[in-house]
Amino acid sequence: MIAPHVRLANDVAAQFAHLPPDTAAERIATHLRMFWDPRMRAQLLSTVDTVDTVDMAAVADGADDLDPLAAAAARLLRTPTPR
Amino acid sequence: MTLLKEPDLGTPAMPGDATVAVEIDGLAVTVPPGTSVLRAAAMVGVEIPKLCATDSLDAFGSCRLCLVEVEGGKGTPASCTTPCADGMKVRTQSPKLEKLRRGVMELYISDHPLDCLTCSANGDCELQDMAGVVGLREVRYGFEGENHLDAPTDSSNPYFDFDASKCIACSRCVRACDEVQGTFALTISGRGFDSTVSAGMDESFLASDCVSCGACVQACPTATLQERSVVELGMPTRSVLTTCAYCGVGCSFKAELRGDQLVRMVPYKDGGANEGHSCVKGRFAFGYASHPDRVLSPMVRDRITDPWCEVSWDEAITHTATRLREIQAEHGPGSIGGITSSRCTNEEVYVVQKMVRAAFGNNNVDTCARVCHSPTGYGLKQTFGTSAGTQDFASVDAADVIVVIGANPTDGHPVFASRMKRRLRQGARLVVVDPRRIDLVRSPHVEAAHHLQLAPGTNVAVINAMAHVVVTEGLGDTDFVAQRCEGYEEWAEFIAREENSPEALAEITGVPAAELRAAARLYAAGPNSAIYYGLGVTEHSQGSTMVMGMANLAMATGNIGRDGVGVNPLRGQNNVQGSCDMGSFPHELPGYRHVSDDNVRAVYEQLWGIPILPEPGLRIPNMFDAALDGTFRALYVQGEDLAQSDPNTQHVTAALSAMDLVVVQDLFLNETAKYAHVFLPGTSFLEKDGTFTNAERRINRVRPVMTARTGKQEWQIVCEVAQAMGYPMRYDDAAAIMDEIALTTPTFAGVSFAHLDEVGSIQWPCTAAAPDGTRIMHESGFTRGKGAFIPTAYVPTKERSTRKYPLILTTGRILSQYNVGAQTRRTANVVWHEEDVLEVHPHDAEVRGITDGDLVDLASRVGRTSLRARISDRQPVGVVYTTFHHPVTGANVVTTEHSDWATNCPEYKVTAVQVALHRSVPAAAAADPGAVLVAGE
Repeated sequence: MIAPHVRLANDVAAQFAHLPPDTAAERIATHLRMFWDPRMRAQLLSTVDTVDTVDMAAVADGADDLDPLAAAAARLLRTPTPR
Repeated sequence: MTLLKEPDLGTPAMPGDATVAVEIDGLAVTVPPGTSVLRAAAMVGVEIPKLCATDSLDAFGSCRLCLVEVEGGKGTPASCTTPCADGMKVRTQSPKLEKLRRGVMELYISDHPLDCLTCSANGDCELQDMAGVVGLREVRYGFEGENHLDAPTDSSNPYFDFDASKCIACSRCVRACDEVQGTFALTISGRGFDSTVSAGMDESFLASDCVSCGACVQACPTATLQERSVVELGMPTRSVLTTCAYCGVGCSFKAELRGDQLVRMVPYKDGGANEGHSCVKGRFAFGYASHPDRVLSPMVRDRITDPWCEVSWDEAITHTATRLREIQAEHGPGSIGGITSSRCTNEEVYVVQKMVRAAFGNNNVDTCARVCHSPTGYGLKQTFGTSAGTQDFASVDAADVIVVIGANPTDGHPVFASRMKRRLRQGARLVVVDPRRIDLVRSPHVEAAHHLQLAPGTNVAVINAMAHVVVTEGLGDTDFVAQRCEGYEEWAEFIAREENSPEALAEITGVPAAELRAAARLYAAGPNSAIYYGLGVTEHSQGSTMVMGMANLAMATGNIGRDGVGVNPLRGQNNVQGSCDMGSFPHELPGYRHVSDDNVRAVYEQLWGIPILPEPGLRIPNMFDAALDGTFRALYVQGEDLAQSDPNTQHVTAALSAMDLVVVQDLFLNETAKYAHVFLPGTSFLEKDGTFTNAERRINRVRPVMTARTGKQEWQIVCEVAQAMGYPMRYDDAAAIMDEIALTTPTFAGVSFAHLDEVGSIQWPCTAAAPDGTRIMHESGFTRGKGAFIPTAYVPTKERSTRKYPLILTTGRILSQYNVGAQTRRTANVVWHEEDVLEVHPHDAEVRGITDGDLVDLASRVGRTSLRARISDRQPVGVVYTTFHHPVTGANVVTTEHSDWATNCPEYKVTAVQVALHRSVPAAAAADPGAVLVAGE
């Protein structure tokens, strides 16, 4: 079963998929910063780290389920929260 | 406060300026055109005798008691049906008039039981009063002639009797049912002496279309229609003005008591939300407050499998605080959280979110609005700048086109529905957007111009298609858009794409393109078009998107910022608006201000003396997920039955079971309490002191009718838990909490109990610029400055029907029951709804061999339950429908984890299911729906 944070991130990403990818990723990242608890963002970042560093065929934590747009947005979370 | 009898001016007030000058018995008065002589007289203190007239109903002119003489006029016209004319001089007393009135009363009394001393209405009977007023001393006709004294009493309704022997055929009950309630369940059958009030087609009240709103009982001038509680307990002697604790309409009521015994609830004529009307729940279903199931002492237990142990308040509070701190010490400050309740007062909610932020030290606070109107909060904040409906209820009186989307007002918000139906009878046009043919689509004297019977889950496609028609056919309000909005160009380019046309989307939505185009043109033509919506909008995977889509449509057509228009959420529970206003969401402080705002946090940090985290906390579904992950270990639940009301019951109960501490603060040991370690008994609305905020942002006082049966107000309990955790949180009374809310929340700046007591109610924003509140929002500018158009791409839900689960289940509510039924199931309202049933289309039933009343299995991929089938073509082929008022059927056993993308509001309205005749169940279980309830498959 898909991990909740991955499912939720994919749901958010789907709403912005009609936008140009860079714009979509920024808006998704903003949404995640505004509405997601830090531990959920941390889980998502951890999943993206897996996507970026591990052989996807070998992982079983849902990383391969993550929408590429959600992953792009999650990478933006690595930068400090704009205040 | 004693308001047992409110003034009755005889006929309704007329709109307009007072320009007509008349003289009544030598007293000068100036009234608006159309005002009756009866009313004008009452305005200067001249009470003309009357029986068939009352100011909640149009004049009828049948009783012939209110006769007057007009200088220069002929005869003795009825003052109720005679409008004032400029310069008119009226005489209300003369020997001739007195003789006529006595003659009328003689006839009435000659056919009326002379049992005044033992009559339940003794002292509150207008017939009795009028006999005295006209000086009736004898009845020359005697009492032996043909009469109605043996007429039967109809006691079928659980709350009131109809004693036909006391009826004077004044038609007030019939007219109340027609004009006030709009149900048309009553009529006068027969003519002349045979005239009798009849429910339906000579049916009993219970079997008729009567919705038991009580309007007829209230209108009756005698004991013909009388509350059974008055018969049993006697006439009340005092009243307390308070607010209903059921739906988001927030009706004002007089709680009428005899000593300390609550006798009846009577809707208050000056109530801003209800103006003297009520529904079966608020009017009659208050008996749960004294139900023996109520728990009145705190209880604790170590494990959820242990029996409960009653303890003192001190022990319960110390135990709760100690365990919360122990869990934080072991698992971190973010391992605990709390949930506020939309059934509690603003003051009670405020202290829970304060306890979480100040004593718990995190933002893990959420509210049960998460599972209903959280998308409203998101969508209206993004587009308009604040999370609230734009109008007051009275605004619908000026609407020309009313669009009802995903709401069933006659069942969910009945008092507002009556007002809406009155406007529809006056000629406003109606568009219903709903997969199910709700009563509003076609009912007496109301018929929708268009019913867009869309496939569940396609709201956004429908609203986009409507907006497409507006933009591509040039039907928008370009001046409004240019002056008041931003982002239009990008949105208009998006919405004008062919993919958003009614024709392109018809296959997805199931709505014929021509029908949709006609509905869109009607809305755009207005001139005043208003949208009212409910959980059929929000409880979808695109709930927030749909809210923004409706806002876009309203802005594009200029339907914002004046009477008769707007975007209006119909809130499910009494204080959904208030609980959201009070900072219950994990990302917002009171007044919908984000926790990341340094200036806002500084206000609270300075006042509360603690730092506030600038990051959002966990939402309810996130808490469940975190509980199963092991990072969230304790939850304080104020008045929400998570285990019954939240989706995917198995997931919820697994999460609750995984926690080290669950604290439930409630009236009853509900389903969630089965997983609790501490139970803190709460107070009913009859015991509370505080405020509720209804769907029109109206802040109403909730006054204690009786002392708290538990010995403590709920806000006191919360403060004591916080104090036991080491955080000082003390208030002298609930008024002091509101003072703190007003001090820290700009939109509440002018609100206080004293001000509310003075003016009755206040719609926020209540500021220096609007000291008595704000009826209509965004009149000259949006809260955020310019209204924001936001493109709303339609994204289909992931919940699809499959070969294994070929039907779509959607859920709703019924008039007599409220939410999970914890209150209404403990009243006589069960007469109307003993169990939840599954409505199945005849075609779907036939192919499955299901007949009406059969026990059926309802299964989704996450669970299954059983309930009885009702064959109904209200919903299209392929869609089934049920309610969620009874835990035994557990409708949420089958609902899934899908939720609104922005807010996590569950997608209750779309679940792929299969329905099959229940064949294997043993006979004993077959008689008991829900007995085969199974979570998970």
